Amino acid sequence: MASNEAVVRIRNLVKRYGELVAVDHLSLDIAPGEVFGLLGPNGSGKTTTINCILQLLSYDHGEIELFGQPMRPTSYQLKRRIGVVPQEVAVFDELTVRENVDSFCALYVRDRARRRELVDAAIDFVGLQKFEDFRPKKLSGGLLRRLNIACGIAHRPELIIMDEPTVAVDPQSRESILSGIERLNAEGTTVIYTSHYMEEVERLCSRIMIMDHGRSVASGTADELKGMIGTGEKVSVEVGEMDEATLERVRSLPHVRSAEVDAGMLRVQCASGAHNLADVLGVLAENGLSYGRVLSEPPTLNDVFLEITGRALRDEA
Amino acid sequence: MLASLRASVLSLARDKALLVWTLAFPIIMTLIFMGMFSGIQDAYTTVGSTLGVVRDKNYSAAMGLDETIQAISDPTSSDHICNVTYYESAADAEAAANATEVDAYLTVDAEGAPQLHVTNASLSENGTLPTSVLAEILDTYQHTRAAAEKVAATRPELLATGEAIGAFTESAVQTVRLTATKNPPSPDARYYYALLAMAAGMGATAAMVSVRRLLPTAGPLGARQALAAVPRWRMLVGALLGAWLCEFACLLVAALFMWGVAGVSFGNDASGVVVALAASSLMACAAGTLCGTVTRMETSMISGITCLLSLFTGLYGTASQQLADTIETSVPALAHANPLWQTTNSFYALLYYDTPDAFLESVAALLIMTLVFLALASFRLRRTSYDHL
Amino acid sequence: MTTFRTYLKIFLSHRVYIAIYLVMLSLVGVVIGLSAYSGNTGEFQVAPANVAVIDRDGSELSAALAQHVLQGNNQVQVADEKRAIQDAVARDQVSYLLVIPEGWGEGLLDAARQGTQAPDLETYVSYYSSMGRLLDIEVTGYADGLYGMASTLGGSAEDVIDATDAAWEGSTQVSMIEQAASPLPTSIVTAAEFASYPIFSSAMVCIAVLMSSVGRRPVRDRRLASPEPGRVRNLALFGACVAIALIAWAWNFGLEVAVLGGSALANSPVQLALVGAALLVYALVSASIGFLAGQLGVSENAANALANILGMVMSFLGGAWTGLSLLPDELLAVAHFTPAYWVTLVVEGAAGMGEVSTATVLPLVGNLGICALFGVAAVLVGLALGRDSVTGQRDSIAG
Repeated sequence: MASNEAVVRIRNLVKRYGELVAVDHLSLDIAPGEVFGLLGPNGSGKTTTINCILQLLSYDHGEIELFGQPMRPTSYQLKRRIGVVPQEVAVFDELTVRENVDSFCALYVRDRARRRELVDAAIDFVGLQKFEDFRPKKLSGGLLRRLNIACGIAHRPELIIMDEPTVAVDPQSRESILSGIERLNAEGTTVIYTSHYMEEVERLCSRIMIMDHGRSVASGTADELKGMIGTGEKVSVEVGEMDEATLERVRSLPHVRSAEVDAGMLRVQCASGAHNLADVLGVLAENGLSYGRVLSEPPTLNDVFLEITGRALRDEA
Repeated sequence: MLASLRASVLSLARDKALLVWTLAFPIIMTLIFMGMFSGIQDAYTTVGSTLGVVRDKNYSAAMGLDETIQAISDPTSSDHICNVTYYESAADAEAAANATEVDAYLTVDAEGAPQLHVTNASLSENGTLPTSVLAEILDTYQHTRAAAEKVAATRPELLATGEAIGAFTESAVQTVRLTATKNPPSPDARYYYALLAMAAGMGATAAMVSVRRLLPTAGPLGARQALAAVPRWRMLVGALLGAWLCEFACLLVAALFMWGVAGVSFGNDASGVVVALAASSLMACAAGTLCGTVTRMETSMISGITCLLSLFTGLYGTASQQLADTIETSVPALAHANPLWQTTNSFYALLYYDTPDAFLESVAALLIMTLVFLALASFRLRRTSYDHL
Repeated sequence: MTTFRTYLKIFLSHRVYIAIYLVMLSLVGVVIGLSAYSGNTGEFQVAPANVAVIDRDGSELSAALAQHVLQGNNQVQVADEKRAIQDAVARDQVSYLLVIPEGWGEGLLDAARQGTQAPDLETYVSYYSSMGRLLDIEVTGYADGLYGMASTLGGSAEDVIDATDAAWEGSTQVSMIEQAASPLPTSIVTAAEFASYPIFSSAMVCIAVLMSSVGRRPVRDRRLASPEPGRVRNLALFGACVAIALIAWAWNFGLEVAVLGGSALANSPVQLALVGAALLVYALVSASIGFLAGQLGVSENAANALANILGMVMSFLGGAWTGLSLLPDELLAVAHFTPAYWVTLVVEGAAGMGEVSTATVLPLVGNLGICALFGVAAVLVGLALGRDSVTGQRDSIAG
């Protein structure tokens, strides 16, 4: 297999549930070594897409290729190269941590001696050595998530699909999970990562796709995405009192999209422009207003996400 | 308190477990019992068997034997005990017995003494009773004949007139069968009562589930409720009452079904039955509350314990009834400590006794058990709440 | 193989179910077997009845009658009070309670002299009234003897009793028909029939719980995404079901043979083997029904209830608890549609088998075959449902 061949290649994937189109003509390519972020509001079709890739769902139309070969429910040689960390914790309550990792690893690796090494490594990797003999019910939420990950990666897959692996874990566990993913990626593993935490995606992912209503609505690197939206920097200035006339003057600046004063802070949303901060401060100086702290923030992925998918609440029928 | 009562009633009514155990289970079993016991009354009263008789010269020579056999094989007579087939030789009769055409066959030896030969198959199928009855009739025949011979030896003149035999065979002494109990003893009532007791015991799961929901140790729902601005005991009492109401209602319906559809006799005191059901379900709910405070307890354990206790109420057939009776006569305290036995017994007392004392004793025992369970439960609850805080 | 081991570990971790349905209920079966009446095989013994006599007469004749009726039976003391009599009869503590009324002995002698009816004896009989009939024959027979002696030979009460007792000596010889094979003791037959309950409920509940654990959505998806072929997965599940059935069978039957089967092992090994085979087939059938429940996606609670209720219903219908001969015809017709019925037929057939030959053994093997068909049917339905549910779930709504 050529190293530049796509690890995942999806063309025109369509998945319908009756009238509802869950995935709508989706196409994507993921190159080897990428950490590919899949973003989208609840119900946008992320998990459905993943389940289609894994052949857990049948789909109405489209092609899915993994490692250059078509993926089928019986493509066991392909499945062997994939690791899955599902959204819900998927482990046996009746088995201990070690037994769980071993039993899932055994689905991929027959050789017992080799498996023992892999299981040890996976447990080390997620830092569960002290809890090897615990049953899942005795583990805290963060430990459980780490076990969930260990079960998915023990067999050293080339492609790991992680569906919101950091839901409801504390910052320490989250940090350990994220740095773990970075290490896996550094070893050459390709990762598909879905999450609602923008800063995680921004930190990990080399490429991001935002999905909504089953369609890809934007994709690219984090910076490319930020460039796609109108919002530039956000300028905040501590002004104390400010009269309406001055505020109007700020609003009439060329790149300013909105401006308001709230509790002595002037907040200005700018479109991308070369010297927004200087322009705003200039207006203040012209009107003889003194100011305290000045803050200029570039747009975040969160802004991008809300701008692209809208601010209306989801999950409402 | 009303709010937690309502929550407990609603969730129990929607959760099928309680309905299955305390309503569907007794009703299904009642339907089965109905079918089964349509034959049991006969089974306890019939002593019938099939008898082969070897009609050789010894048999013909035995004085009065053939008359005896004919008397008990006359299908129109109330003394009918067996159906008779005659054989020419013992070998024929034995072959017939081995082919299970007859349960037993009769031969007469040279001295005129009858001998009964029984097959194993008939004993394992019908028990020893039909054979015992045949043997007893032959005994009586032999004894009467011996008596007649004795009389004939002393007063030969009586033999000629037939008085020697007639005096023994005219059934001069009769027995009259009296009824001691308020209602005639019924073999199937025992099964139904034990079944109701088992259903009541299974209902303990309802209280366990309701109470556990309120414990902070049992998860987020319990914790949330433990934080409510209502004293814990009031919520617990509400939950307990809710579980009790549900179980009581289910058992009442089940008992009504037994009475109305299966025609199970509960005696004439309907209010007594209601009291017994109320006390039994209250006891079960108290037991369930206690189980709810034990973290390791699972619903399956309650069903297991109930299964075990039901052995001693005689639910599992005749063998388990014998075992239960043996325990009751030899170690009464042990039998009486079984809450399900008390439940069964309270129905029993209503059916059979014309005085209420036995019934009241059982109900009182149930209430005392309730108090003990609740006391233990509150002791444990106090401890768990401190543990938790 | 590892999947199979995983399944076994999951099964073993549900200790509560194993403890209750397998261990406890099987012990109940053994206790019931132990308490079942078991005469010495090969020799006929009359089952003794529980008898009480209330002698209000206190004459020599009444004492003789009381002594006669108590002979060979278990005497139960019952006070001459209404409540005590009610207790004794309602609970079947006595099968037969004889009350000899005051003045009975005197009245009998008078009647014998005049050739009139003697005063009646009063009896109370529990619902087990056939036993009462047997004892009625005993009592009236002896009382008729007293009357006959008094009316023919006459003399004092003592003379009458002596003469009657002399005539009443000896009893009919009852012998068992010699058969080529020794029958199985009642205790092990009773226990084996009861075992249908623990075997069914333990196998079914354990398998249904195992399958619900393995089939939980996230775990199932994870396994489906793995390279483990469906065939291997199904084979492992099948293996686990069979293993659980074997454990349930081995425990129950092993316990029964160990506690109750000593003599049977030596005297009637073929019959015992037939009983063992019957229980084994039943265990496998139970496992297939558990498999079906698992395929239907029955929850743990429901599996618990189903195992218990179905187990009981089947044992009852199969005649395991009260005997097939007691079942009315209509129910017997229904019973044909339960596997337990065929098992009970085999157990009862083996128990009283006259001789061991192909002619006697083959029909029982045929019954076992019919029983096994229930299991095959359950497995086939389960497999068909399983295929449906896989494709169905693949298409169910996912987030």
